Amino acid sequence: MSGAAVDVATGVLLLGGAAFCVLGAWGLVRFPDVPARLHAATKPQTIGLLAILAGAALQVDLQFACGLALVGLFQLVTAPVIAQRISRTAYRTGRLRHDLLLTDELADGPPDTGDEPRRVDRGV
Amino acid sequence: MPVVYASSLALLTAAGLITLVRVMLGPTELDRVVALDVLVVLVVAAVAVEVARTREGFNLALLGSGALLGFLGAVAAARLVELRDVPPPDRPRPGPPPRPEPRQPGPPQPGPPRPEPRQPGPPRPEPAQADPTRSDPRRADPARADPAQPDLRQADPSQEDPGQPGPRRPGPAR
Repeated sequence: MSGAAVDVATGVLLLGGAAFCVLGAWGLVRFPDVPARLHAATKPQTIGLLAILAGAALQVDLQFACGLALVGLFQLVTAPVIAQRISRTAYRTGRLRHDLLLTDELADGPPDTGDEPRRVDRGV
Repeated sequence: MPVVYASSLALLTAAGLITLVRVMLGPTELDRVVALDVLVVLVVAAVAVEVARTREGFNLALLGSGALLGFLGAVAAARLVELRDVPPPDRPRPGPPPRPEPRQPGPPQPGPPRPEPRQPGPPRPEPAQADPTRSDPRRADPARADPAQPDLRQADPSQEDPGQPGPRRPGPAR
């Protein structure tokens, strides 16, 4: 691939990723409560970061590109974990707007999966 | 290409400023945690743009450590809020009124007394949310009672379940 094509692809990826980041931040301001803001905080941010990392990986050597890919993979793994922890905390502490929920599957208590004996919870 | 890099950095800066608006506004600390995590991701993205601009990978350690820092910070902050504010299972969910009750003359609580448990953000429209059956049976350990947050647990002995007279206090460590 010629240098000009690589530069064009890099430009598109960087600008598109930055645009996704701006959209994510704008949604973070616009959305009404914590679970809705998590939508904006995880998905557009992850897409934007992955696009920017891909654009940067086109410009550097292969070893550094592998490092960038690892950072993107780490972000892909950790963003759902963060979203789950924060949304769980938001639900359990009542910091969400129940009038915006279409359905609340936890309203009758946590689901009884039958495989969790009564145990000393260390908060994990 | 310098125009592309400058534009990308400008967009990321704009996104960071918009995110800072949410950090300042955010009615609860969870909003701030989310916004600060987004801010860390934006910093990582900006460093990636810098990597692309200089065509050198010497900032890769900064990228990795930034991503790790954002993850650990967000998870730790969410866990802090959860440990501090989630009531024990025999309490109603954090519904509308944290009632101001006189403190029981129980054993002296370590730690400075907090004025009141934190108000949940928006008012809950459904009183059915205060159903104690919604409580989590896994949260049954009274030893997890946070000594810095005594009010939710010691305020109202009338809501103790009948098997446990008197206010719950931290039992022996298991």
